[in-house]
Amino acid sequence: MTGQRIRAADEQGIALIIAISVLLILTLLGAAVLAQAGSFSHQANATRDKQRALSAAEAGIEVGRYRLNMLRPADSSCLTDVAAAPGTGGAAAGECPAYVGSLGNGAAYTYTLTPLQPGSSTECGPPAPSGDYQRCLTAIGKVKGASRRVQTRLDTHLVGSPVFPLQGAIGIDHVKIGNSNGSGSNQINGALGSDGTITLGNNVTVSNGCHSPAGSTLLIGNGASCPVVPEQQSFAVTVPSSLEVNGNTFASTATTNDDAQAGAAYSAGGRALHVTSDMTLPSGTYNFCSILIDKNVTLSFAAGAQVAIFLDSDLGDPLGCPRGSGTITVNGTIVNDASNRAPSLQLYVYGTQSSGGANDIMFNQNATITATLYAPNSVISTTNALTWTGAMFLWGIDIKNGITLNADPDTSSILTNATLTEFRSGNWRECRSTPTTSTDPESGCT
Amino acid sequence: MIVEVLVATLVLAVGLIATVATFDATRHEENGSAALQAASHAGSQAMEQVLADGYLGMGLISAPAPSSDPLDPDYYVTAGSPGAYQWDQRSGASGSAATEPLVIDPGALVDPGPTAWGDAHYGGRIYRYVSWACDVAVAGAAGCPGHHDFKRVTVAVTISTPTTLRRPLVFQTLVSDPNAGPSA
Repeated sequence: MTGQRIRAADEQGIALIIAISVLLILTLLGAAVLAQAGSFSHQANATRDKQRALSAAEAGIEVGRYRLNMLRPADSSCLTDVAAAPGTGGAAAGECPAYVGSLGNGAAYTYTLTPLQPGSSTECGPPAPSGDYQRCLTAIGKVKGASRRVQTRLDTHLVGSPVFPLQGAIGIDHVKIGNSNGSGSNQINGALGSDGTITLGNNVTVSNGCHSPAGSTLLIGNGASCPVVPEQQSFAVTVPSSLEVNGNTFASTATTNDDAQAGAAYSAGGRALHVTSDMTLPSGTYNFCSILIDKNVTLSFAAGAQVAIFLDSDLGDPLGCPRGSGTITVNGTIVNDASNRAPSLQLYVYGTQSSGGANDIMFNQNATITATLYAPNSVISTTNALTWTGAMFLWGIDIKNGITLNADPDTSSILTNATLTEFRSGNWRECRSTPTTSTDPESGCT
Repeated sequence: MIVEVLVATLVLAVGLIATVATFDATRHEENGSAALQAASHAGSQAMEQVLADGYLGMGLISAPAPSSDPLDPDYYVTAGSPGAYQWDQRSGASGSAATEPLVIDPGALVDPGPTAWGDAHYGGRIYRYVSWACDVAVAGAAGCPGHHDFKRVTVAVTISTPTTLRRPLVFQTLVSDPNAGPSA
């Protein structure tokens, strides 16, 4: 008995010690698991923030490039939101100051843009193509503690300017559209633009706004809708005499053209196209002095056809075009194959007056056309419903009885001859999140 | 001795319950973190898909419908023609400075959604917005808001499984017309 009591006395408290030991192990295990979960959580938040920071840095690149092409600072200047000299705005000597912008929701970007450098410079990665110049654009995106930095080399490119600066219709002097009958007529699925007056009848809707510079006028009827989009300057007009698209001008096509492909409908004396029965005009570049399509007659363009028609006049070609020519009158209809996009049929009209040829372009029957129309000296007028897919650039637009305009984004790819220098992204690379030399914003991007 | 064993058992039981609770909370936290990771990748991928449409294709094929639920990304949509979107959703940010008109173009390529993302473990919805941003440096103070300088692309991602994230993840960037110039 005595021995048992002694053994029992020896084991007193052992159960509690074991329990506390087990508890200690469980606590350590729990702490480790908690720490691991915290690490996962931190990692997930960091992933989110880093991805948002990369988007912010890319926004910085876009803003810098856009401003460079729009504001066009001097070659020796840097660019923030204005042209700036190197070494100013807190930048080290010879370096460019930074611009800081907000993307909202806690995201921000910073960019620096160098002055123009020879294309052979390797500050921004591999040299630019031979003959080009370059600028180096570096942007940092920041979200909370996360930071991403990217850099792009902007190379000079000689480019043309868009013949159709808006996806929709421009009437330099005026745009006048009558009342909508509420069944889909007078709907502009695109933008309208004018330096003068835009007049919209009742219930006319314009999906991408009325674009106009200061001093222009917008008059809209009941139920009509057209959000105002201010333009910095008047719409740039390339006068027909100096227009050059794909190497073709009014002057060059007057002598070198595919007019003979029009067959019997074409009259060489006076370069007149008179369509008296249904016909298809094949691919080619044409120069007519006048176009007349008779009533109930269709002028068609086949699938895949690429057609450019220069409608000349005695104003542009006084020797080749008869006096009073230069008009297009559609009493029938023009049909471009449904599979063709608008740039497949390009109409360029010289005009009968230096501005505002009132009867230059007339549509007198219901018509559905996919094409582009550049006629900065002419007015288009309709007497019946017109559905136009593409783009228009005219002196004036007078629509009485209904138009449905569907803008075709492809029309912005039609450019005049190359006269402008633009900067386009060349090399792109991601850099260390901070420059390796604190005073050199472009460093750390190998 | 019996009392001691009882006390030890009680201590062990409390410890075990606490440990199990900790493990459960940790598992919940880890699931949330994994879902957040997956949502981040889904958002990033959705953003890349929109950017791949190119500047001209970057527009909504239809207007998203506004929502009255503050946790729904469509809460920041205002109905109208063409409708508007509040791109800066910080508290206190509102009005014309934080709101932009949506780019609606039936010929464009961006489906506003929402579209589902995820697999058997994690999932939710992706909302896409494209709005017109104005740049005071280019348009001038008088031109903003209103001038179309950039397209702002916003991708909002919600998580509905396995846990509900209270606020959606919002990814945003700006895109300019690569052909833009003073004459355009």
